[in-house]
Amino acid sequence: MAIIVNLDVMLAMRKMSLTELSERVGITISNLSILKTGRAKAIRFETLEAVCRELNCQPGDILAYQPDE
Amino acid sequence: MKIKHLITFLKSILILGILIAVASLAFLLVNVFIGNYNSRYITTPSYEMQAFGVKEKPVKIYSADSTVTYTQLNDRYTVTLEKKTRNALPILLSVCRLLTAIAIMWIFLRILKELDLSKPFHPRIVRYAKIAAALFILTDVLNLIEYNVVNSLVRHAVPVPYLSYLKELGSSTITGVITFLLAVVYQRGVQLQSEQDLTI
Repeated sequence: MAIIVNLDVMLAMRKMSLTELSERVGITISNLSILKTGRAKAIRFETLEAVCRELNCQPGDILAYQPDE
Repeated sequence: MKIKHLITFLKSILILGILIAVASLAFLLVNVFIGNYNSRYITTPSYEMQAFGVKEKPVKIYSADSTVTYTQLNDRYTVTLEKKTRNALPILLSVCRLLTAIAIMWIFLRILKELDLSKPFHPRIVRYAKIAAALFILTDVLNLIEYNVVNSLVRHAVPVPYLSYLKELGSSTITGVITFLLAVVYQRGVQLQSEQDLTI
């Protein structure tokens, strides 16, 4: 997929674990794991808002566009 | 009645149907293998036929109070294959029909077992529904074979012009096509469910 999820990078920069983020945003670890590994088909605005709020970043920091070869 | 109870009831009916069909098939096969063609489990093949070459039109008769009309048909025949002329094909078709019926009931039983009302869309149900559609169409193919075999057997033996086997053809195909269309729609439901599950 051309959309890359940089959640693992942001988590590493903030020195935050996936478990901690899941507790803060109220999303299960399995769902956050799906998002982190790029298997998600879509992301809700409210999820994006919660993740950006807790990581103190912009949506563009989490999502990036990389054209397919 | 709750849907859960209805599903349980349908499962019981299907299990009963499968048991009856399997028992009939077993008795039929046992009697065929031991050569007991007089057994009541091997029904005498008897076919309703109509002579389309009969020119006289049936007379319509009115009842005494003229509320009902009735017609005596003089072009209908019941043709029975006698034991000495009976060939193996009607028995083979009976076996195939029983096997198809068992397979269809088993498939519907599997669908009911897979059905989870909290999460109704499951990819396995799509596969089962497509198999059921193919089996319905196969039933009609068997009916078509029987229609042609009976017609060819009888036309050689009975000197009545344009004698044709009165067999309903096409209804199973329509059922099969409708089941297939439902399976395709259900498949779309499975895709939507998958997308919904992967929306975070």
